[in-house]
Amino acid sequence: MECSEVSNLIMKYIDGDISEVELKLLNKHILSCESCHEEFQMMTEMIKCINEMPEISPPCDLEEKIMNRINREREASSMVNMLIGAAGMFAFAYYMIIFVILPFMRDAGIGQILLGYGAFVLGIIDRYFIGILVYLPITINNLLTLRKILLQDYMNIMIFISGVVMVLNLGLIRIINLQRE
Amino acid sequence: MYGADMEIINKCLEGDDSAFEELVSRYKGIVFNTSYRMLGSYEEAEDASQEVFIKMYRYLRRYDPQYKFSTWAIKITTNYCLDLLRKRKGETVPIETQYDLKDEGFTPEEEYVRHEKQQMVKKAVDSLPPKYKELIVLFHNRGLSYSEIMEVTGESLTIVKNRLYRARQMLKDLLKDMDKEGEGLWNAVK
Repeated sequence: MECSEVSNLIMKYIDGDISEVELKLLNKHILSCESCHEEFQMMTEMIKCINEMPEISPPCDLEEKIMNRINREREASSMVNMLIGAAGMFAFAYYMIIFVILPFMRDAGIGQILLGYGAFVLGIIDRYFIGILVYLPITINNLLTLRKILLQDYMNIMIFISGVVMVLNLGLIRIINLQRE
Repeated sequence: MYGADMEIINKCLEGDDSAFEELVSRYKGIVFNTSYRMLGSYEEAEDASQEVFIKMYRYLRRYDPQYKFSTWAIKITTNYCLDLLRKRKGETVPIETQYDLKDEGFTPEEEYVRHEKQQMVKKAVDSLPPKYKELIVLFHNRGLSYSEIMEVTGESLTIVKNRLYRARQMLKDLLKDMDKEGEGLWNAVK
């Protein structure tokens, strides 16, 4: 057997993946070849050293440090979420005012509309007082949970898109106004 | 308090922070030791472990339960360490003394030789190029199988095997060179 083949067998031996025939070949060769014997000795000794390197115990405050960092990061990101959420609400309110309430008011007159709304809302509260008292907290709680879930994944993107659309819209309205003038 | 890893992971995904803390306790040994072997210093390993766990927290959703969690943890750890090692290319790294455990049953002389040899091996492993060092750490320190190493590195079996063989040869050559300069500890083995 050639010496060049031996190093491959040594690797297989280290991997624990050597067949009996190969092991015999390897043994036979290293008994007769000084340099391969030396290589075998050194390689196995070296690997033994690596395998026996002691496990180091990690610092005991590692968990604490990590959890502190996670908490800090979450606080920062929830602030950002709040700001984006507020921007989104603003965008929504803007749309409502521009496209729903204003056209409606222009037709009917502001005072009358406000009074109408007031009477309507009071009527509902009057009729469903007990129901509202019971279900409102539950609904708010559900909405908050929903918001928590939504905020994590989709809400940010949706709000961002609506913000962009709003800005584009403002630009468009401006252009249309300019053209009218 | 908690059972299987998957149970903890699901709890983490539901937003339970104490579950994540439990996950950190379970895997800090693996993450820290892998970082320590990759980077070669205790302080750097500590910083790296923190970063790795933060990454795990952020990307926990991407964990694929068909693989062992430890494999995923090691994958994130080695990727992070490889990045660090690439960045610090050319910078000198302080050689740190091995945190050694005293082993019973050795004479003081044997203990000395063993300790010196381990120091040399550690130094040699530290000076390997990152890609080769990674395989030595995964296979010999962490005891991962070839298929697990393939998952961690994303390389084929042939590449993994060749690289590991090459890494061992490089290590041996490095040790030979060091041995010539030093006390001839490795020749004494014969």
